[in-house]
Amino acid sequence: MQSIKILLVILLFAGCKREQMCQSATSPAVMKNGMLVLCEGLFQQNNSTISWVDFTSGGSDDLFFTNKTSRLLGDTGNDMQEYGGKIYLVVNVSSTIEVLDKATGASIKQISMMNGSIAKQPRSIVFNGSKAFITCYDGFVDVLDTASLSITKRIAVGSNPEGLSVSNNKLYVSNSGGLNSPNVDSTISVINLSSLSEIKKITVGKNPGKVVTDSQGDVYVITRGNYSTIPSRMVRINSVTDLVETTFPFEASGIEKMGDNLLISNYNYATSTSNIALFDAVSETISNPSLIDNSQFTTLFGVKYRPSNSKIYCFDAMGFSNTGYVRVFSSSGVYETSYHVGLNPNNIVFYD
Amino acid sequence: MRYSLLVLNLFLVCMLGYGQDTINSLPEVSVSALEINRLKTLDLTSQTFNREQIILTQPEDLGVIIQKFSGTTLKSYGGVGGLKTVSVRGLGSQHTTFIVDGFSISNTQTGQINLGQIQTDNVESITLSVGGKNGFLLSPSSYINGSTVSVNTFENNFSTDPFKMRLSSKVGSFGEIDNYISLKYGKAKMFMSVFGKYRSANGKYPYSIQNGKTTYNGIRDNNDLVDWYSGFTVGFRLKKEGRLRVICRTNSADQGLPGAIILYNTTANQRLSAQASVVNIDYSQTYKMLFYRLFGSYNHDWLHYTDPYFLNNTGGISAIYTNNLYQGGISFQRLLLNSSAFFGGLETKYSDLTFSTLNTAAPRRLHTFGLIGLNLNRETWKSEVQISAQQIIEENDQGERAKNRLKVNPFLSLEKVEFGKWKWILKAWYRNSFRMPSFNELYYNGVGNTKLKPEQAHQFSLGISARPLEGDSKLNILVNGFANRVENQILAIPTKNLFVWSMQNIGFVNTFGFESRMQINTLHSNRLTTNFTMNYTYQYSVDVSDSHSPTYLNQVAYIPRHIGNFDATIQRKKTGIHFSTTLSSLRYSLTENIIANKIDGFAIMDVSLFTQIKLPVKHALRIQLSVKNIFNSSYAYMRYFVMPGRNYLITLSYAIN
Repeated sequence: MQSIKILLVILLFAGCKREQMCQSATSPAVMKNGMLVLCEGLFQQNNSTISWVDFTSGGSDDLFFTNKTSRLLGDTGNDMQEYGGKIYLVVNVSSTIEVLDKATGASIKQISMMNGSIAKQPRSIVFNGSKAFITCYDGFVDVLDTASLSITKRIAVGSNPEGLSVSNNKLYVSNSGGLNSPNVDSTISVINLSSLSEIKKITVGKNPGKVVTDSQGDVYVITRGNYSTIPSRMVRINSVTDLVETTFPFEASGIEKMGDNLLISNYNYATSTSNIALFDAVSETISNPSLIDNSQFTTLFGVKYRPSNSKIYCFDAMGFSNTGYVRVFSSSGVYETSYHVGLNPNNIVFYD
Repeated sequence: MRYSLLVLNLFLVCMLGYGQDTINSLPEVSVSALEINRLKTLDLTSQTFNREQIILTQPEDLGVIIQKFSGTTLKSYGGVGGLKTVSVRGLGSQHTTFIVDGFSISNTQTGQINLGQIQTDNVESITLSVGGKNGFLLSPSSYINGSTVSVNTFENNFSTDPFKMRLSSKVGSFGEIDNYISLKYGKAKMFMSVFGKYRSANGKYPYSIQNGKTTYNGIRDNNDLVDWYSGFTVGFRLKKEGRLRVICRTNSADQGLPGAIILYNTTANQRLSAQASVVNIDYSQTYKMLFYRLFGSYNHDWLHYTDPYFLNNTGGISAIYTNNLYQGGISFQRLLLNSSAFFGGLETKYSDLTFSTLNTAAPRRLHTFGLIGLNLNRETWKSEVQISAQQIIEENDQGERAKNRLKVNPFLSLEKVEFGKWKWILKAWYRNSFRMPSFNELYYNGVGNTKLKPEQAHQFSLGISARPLEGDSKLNILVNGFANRVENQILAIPTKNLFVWSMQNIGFVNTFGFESRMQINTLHSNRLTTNFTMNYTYQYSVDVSDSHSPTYLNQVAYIPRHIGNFDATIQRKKTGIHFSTTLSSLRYSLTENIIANKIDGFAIMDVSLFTQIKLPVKHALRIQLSVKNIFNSSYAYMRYFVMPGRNYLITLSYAIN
């Protein structure tokens, strides 16, 4: 029987196509002068990956996580942040938090985000003091002790919380309500970081997502609307009064802090066009409506600013079902280079 | 993930309950010496399995047996009753029409049939035809699509035998129990039949998947199924060779939906309940050289999908879909001189769909088909010409509707009939066809796009067939080359955010390939027979949508370039052994042909031992032991929908003929 099986397999694979390799650099034992790029993959494919990009050679290793941990990252890696010498990965559908050693990439702990038999579906993570705060789609912000790496508290917020940011000793959490579409949520939950409880809900607009704090302490939120009759908007909250002070009359899908400025990115799904505007967060006006224009991207999926070299790193998702690129621009928007990475890149951790 | 969980899961499961309005059955017990041998050269446009061949394979459902035809690609999500669809020569599954006992079965909600819920026990024959008219007096819609699968069942064929019975009981791995009984009463002027079937399985099969450099072993959960089928048929022979049939069937099913295996999160809680009812009526008559058939049917499908742990504010999802389909028409054939024939017909289908939640659309469709055709048969050649016209009128009581359509499509074929010592046949044909977007593709909340155009398909084929050997050893060989082009391919892409994918006409696909078949049947001394059938299909099916895309000229997702089957039967008298092997080369889960998207190829072998116990005339008792996936291979048709490993099935069947 075994010989028959071998024969069948030989017949089967005769003539199979040569494939592109997905490794043009090797992940080093200790990382430096490069970046880790989280590529979230696609739903139900378990194909979230992390690409290691070596700035010296320009090569990349899309199997970084597997090479370091001998296993796969899982399904829909949604956020990646560094804090206290560790890297925290938020894997949404697999419902895990992966903690890696930043210097070596070695796995420190995999935290299962299950509530009994129900997946909490974590989305995003921020840090304050000795705690990490993780939005979970089941309507909570989980508090993670960064020393013991265990969940110490669950704070109830609105439905399907998404983005979050810290300002003025408060945590601002966007309640997207995305799983109730078309009856989405419209609020930001404000959590007192001393009492670790929700103190207020602020109505900002339908389907709030990304939340960023600027250099002045103002909190900016993207409300994504309903993708048809209600357009997306950027909203500014005063973190002293916790009131909405401005709803800006332009569409936006992402915000990235760049010193005293914000990079406002927008990808129009209907027309497949992209744009990055420069927003002066001090004067609270657009200072350059087209810092980087549509011609530079196939599918703009996000932006990351690197303070140490003042460069802008943009995620090009190449239509969402093809492996993507990180495209690098100067702070004045001049194209410099691109790095090939995995499927749907959405965040970066830099190594100097 | 967000909204995707809802949309993608619902979109997928909307298929599951459908298609089960067909048949059940059980094998007739008399396995006559494997008469796979044809007395004529293999037909270049159709392939047929008869009851004996189906019994030997012991397929779980229709999908498994269609996979044995050359040129077909199966997509299976695993599990008893799980979703299975088939594509033929690289065209999407919606380009295939399914006919059962002369009535087309279709589902306007999904546009395709779940073959996992069409069982084969009672199937007398199944034919796949690609190019050319297949069957006699079928509805016009049966002749004009990219390909047609036609099934004939035990219950619905006229019989003059006073009493026939089919009885079978199966016990298999993973809690599978399957019992079926069918009774048929016949007289000169009428027949009637009644059947019932019960099937259940817990579906808890072990699997292993590669997680990086380690292997993960698990057990499939929430994969259970219980379903019931029943029905009756009555038929009358009337004056002037008139025949009237009334067929009624109903079934209900309840099943768990295990979903894709998600690393580190094995929870699965979605369930699906389905009920379907069908009434078919037809009347056929001969008037001199004219044959005609009037037909009508009503299909009612009800689906209830639940996900109690979906993270919305209402404590989960409970969604109900109701789909009605009324169809009726006339089909005729007028014989001409020299065995030529003029044929055609008119058919209308009216369908509607109701969503209980999450969707405000209430679509209705009136789809009318007209067909005329001519078969010209001469001593050395045959040809067929068809022209079909289709009008589709759409309405949506709650929102924007899709545009009405009027389409005319041709078909041409030319065949050189058996010639030369090896009885060669040569045939060339061209078909132009299209498929309408389904109600889901047009109207499903967040996914549907009412601007969608029909998906066009052009098919060219050139084939040659021969039978070089006759006598105690018979050999049949066949090769069909084909070239297909799909335009306005309907694909889902993100149009609102990464998690809300919507249907768009963005794809163009070219397919070039060939299918080949070989059959060797030998009658040895001592009543020993051996039968070998092999087929191999090559399909270079590539994306040609955009020359600047990274996927330009890449093999289309889930279409393997190489597919093959190898079956062997060795039988002496009524006892024998059967080997059934299915092979597929690697496939890609996305059209970008990189290692990260690769799904390994597989070679799966099933082995069956069978014997028939001698009983009085007209009675037959048969026992078969099947070992499926005998090498216990871990394989998957769809990414992270792992199929069962080695499993066993014992079948006991009894028939009175």
